[in-house]
Amino acid sequence: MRQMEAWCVEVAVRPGLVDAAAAELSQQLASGSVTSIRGFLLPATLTREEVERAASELLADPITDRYVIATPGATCDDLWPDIGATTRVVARRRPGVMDPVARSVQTALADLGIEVEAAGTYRSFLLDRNTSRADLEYAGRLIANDVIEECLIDTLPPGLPLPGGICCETRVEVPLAGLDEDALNEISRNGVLSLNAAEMRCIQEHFASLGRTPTLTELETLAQTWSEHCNHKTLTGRVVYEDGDAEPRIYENLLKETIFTTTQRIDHWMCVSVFVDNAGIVDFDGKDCLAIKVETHNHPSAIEPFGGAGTGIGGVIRDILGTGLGAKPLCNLDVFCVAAPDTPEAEVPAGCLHPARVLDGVVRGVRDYGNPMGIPTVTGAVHFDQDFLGNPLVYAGTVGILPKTHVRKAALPGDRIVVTGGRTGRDGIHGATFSSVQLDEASETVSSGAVQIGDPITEKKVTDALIEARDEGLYHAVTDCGAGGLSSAVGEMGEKIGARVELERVLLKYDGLTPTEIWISEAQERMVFAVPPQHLERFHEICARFEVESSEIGDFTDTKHLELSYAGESIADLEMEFMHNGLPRPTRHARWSPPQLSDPELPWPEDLNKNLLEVLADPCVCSKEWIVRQFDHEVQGQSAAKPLTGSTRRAPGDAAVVAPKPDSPLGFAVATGLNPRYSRIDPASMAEAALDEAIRNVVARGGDPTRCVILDNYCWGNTDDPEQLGALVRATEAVCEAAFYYRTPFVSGKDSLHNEYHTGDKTIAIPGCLLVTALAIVPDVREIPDSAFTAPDRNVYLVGRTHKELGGSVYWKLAGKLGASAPRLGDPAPAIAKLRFLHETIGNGWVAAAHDLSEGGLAVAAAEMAFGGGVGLFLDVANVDYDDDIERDDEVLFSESLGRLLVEPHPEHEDDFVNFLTRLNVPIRQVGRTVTEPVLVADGITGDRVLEITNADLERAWSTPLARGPLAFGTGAST
Amino acid sequence: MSNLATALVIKAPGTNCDVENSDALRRAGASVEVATTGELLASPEMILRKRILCLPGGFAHGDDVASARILANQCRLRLGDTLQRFVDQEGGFVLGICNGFQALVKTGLLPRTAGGLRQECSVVHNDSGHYECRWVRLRIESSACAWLPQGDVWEMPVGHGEGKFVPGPNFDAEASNLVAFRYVDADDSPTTDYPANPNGSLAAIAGLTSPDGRVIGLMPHPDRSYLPYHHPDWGRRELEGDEMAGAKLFRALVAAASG
Repeated sequence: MRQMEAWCVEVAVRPGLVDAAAAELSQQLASGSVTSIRGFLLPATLTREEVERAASELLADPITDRYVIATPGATCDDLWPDIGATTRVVARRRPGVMDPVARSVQTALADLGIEVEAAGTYRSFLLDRNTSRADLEYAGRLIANDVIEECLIDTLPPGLPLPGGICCETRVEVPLAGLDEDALNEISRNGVLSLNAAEMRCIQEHFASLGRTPTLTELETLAQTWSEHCNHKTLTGRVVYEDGDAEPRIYENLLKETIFTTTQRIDHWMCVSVFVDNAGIVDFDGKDCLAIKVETHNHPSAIEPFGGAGTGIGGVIRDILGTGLGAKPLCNLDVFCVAAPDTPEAEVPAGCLHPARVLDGVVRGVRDYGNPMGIPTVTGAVHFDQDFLGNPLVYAGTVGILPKTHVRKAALPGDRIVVTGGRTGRDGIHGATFSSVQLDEASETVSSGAVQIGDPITEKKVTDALIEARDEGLYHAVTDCGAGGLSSAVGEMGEKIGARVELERVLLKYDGLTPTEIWISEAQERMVFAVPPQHLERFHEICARFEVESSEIGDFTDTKHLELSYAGESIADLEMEFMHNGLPRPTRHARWSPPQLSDPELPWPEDLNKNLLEVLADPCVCSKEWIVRQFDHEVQGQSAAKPLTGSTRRAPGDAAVVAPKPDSPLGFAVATGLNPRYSRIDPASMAEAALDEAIRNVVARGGDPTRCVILDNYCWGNTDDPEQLGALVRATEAVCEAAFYYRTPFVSGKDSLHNEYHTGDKTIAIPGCLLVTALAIVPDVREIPDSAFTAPDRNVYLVGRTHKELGGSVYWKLAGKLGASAPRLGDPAPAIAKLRFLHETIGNGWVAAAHDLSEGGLAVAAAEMAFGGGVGLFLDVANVDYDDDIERDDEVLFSESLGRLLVEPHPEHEDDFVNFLTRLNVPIRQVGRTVTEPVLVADGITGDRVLEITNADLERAWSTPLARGPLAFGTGAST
Repeated sequence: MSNLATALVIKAPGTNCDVENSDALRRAGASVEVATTGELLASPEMILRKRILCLPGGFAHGDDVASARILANQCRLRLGDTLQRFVDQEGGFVLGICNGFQALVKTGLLPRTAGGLRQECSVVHNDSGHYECRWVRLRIESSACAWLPQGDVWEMPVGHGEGKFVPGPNFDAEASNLVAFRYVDADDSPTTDYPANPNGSLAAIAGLTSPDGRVIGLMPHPDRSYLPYHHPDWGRRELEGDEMAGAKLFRALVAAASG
């Protein structure tokens, strides 16, 4: 590695002020004396006066900080004499890993009149001199992630590392002729191409027919284009599905014949552009459209949670920017699936990060990307399950707005190919193909190139420039550089016409990249435009206004070929037809065999109060306020319903509502549904529950179920296993049938397969997860019901019928049982009618509060509405509309039957509310009444008192478990 | 109305509240223009043609090194003369919100007890160690800023990771009449308790004014509290007809700067 001698400037907060970073580490180390240092590296060529000036005017705050300067080559001894004899751990980013602060320091020094070629940063912690080597190494693991940072002990960084080098290879040929399957597989595996034998064989034959040898660049291009991540070859492939003794069903294209067909059959007027662009586009108000997309970023988040989640949210934002001619992002959502934060260290498999660190990292990742972008993160969820130990899931979604006139795009021959935003580096190589590799203990090392750190400010600048250029009509098409980098972006835009790229024209972060690396790098924050020549000048001018770099790298052509050159030498010439349609389509087998399960016979509970408090404290149920408050959910000033609500501002809101036009009360509600636990019993239940919960959530917040669209996001284990693929097919059939009855079309979707972790001879597969996201129009944001009770002395109604469905429930999970009776939708016709009629009562202004029943059932929903609203509730269990086979209070209180909401109508409209719904045969029952005294009281089926808990106790149980974040459990140093 | 104020909204790389501030200023009657810092650095005199300079929230230059540090250096080193002329000679008004407030403090435009441009106080990481998005209550203090409705208590959200106000050695945080806003609890008393004081600000200080009352800045966001449905109790209380806190602030500013 090349290195430059450097000054170290070390900055610490002055004594007496809070040193939050040190406090966090000292809590984890149980050590009192920790001081955190922000370190900066400046070239040794500067004079001491210049370094002094940089430190006093830029790097250290004159009021709250102090600093010391170490001359180049100095040791760290006595650098901080007044702190006393100390030792230190240092974390610094590996060469080439994105460091926006270092770049900013470089530009900010120019404001002081100091020009430097490079700058660097590091973090350091001063610890007591007596700290053992083992403790220092432990501290190092806590502060640094080996994938992106190196940890130094008791020394200063030796200098300013300079990434890059000299590129010596350009055109590299990879002979395939005559190779057997083993040899082909080896080429694929060694190159992280993730191409299977049939695909390698197909490429071999293609080039044999052309009579030439493929280049490495061509192989890589095909690997990117044909990757699961870009192509979804499993779900769009041929599948033979067996369910019991029935005749096997053959799908020629699984997604097309299920999800797409359902959308076509529904033929919803809101759908403007679905399943063709980077995101689904739906009509908002006739003039503008909403674009919505949800993505996953699981594999990178498993290895480097902060960078993985940050670049995940950054990627889905770029999807929205690259939808149509570009949509302006309005809000983000995120859903995390992790193992319990208090998992004992010993249970964490080798090579995995502890789930507490994963959760802490992904929260920081989303926060430090979404907040600076100025996009509110308005809703989300966290699910905990031990089978996410090896493969945590990170879903990130974005909704944007664009004029209806800007929905269509097409690059034309003669358009220049312009890349804007971040520069291209060696980061993120093989992200697209890596995402299909099953993780194992070695993944951390082989995949480090696929893990990146985001740079939100660059993406923010790109956003501002894009919207301005869009409104001036300066380009014909745009797309994001995501998985596969330029190869995917240019390949997609030129699919129907052709493209020619001169790779030496791509702006690089540093020298030394091979042309293939330039072509497939997944460096973040880049967008690709098709700009007609007459608009180039203005286009570059707008980019310059927002301090965005832009470069022309080639042309769209009419050759129907992708032609790449580097410094005049041809390095790839592929037919677009072969790239996009040459992929062989094997047949996969799928089989659904129901697991042998039965419902447990649990003893009658002695004290239901205790059970309810335990359910409220379960991590899946408990408050996520620690996370929610770290995400800016107010920026842009369009938030009409907050994630935490009620008079106490602590009740969980069912959905977020955004009113994107300040002069109009028209808004939209967005919410998610997911329950992985039901998947272990029946993926069909899991799928129906996800859809029903997402839609009930938006309806509870005023969303119109007849103006509602949904998204499907699968995260699954190994779908080469017929049983796992069978479970996926079963879930898909169930969600499609439900969606059809609900008349909620799918408008976008994505899948992440192969979520399995191998350690020793053990495989941990995630439970099948289908996340459903619902977006519904809210006709008037002034009629949004609260999610908590609003006043005492109000009658409370339960809408929907309660069945004996405790299979997969939180209540049984806490008893160590799974059961068999997972909730099902049953007859969908009344289910959707119920939601439509309920929505009418909300639209009429009759409803003060509504909250869906999900995990934890009636008891949890009632508790949340009571303590969130600061009023008590008397609940009469005998009045609940439940099935005859229910005999016990706990079954009524904790069943997780679908289709149910608790509703508090406005007293002056209560008769209207009841009469209207009763006349339309919607099952509603008055099950309780709010009271002034803040206590939840319930009488059971036989009239005995079964619950009596104060709001304070309920809220304490609910809000305590994650109140201080996942690291408060004192775990998290496993690597 | 005549002579309505003209406002310039500054957009640095990473500023992300320029749209809502422009909207709120327009609703208050101002005519609004947005300039990037690049444009402003190229022709600083554009400030002098306006009556109000607005520095909105966001993460200018990523808040790299420290919040608003790089923007503040640009203001101090490259726009300092023009900014001082704007407030001292032209009678211009400056509003800084959140990141804009951090920039004004670090430029030395607030509290500016001694004239010139020298940083006297600072705004640093929240005591909680992380970003906080929540609604807070603010009391408008008896201060040198006469155009604010002193004594009123306003509700608006904060959204920041670095909002803890730390006074410098020469600033009397308890007694200064340059403290324009304090965080208050449910009883309207200034508080240093979390979460009513969301960041640990000393002396509960949420915002400042300059001695002439023409430069003000605060951490909470009036630009997220100017439409009725912004309020979390929308629907719970009858809020229609009540003017929102943010709308009051922008209206008072535009009124003071007009004429």
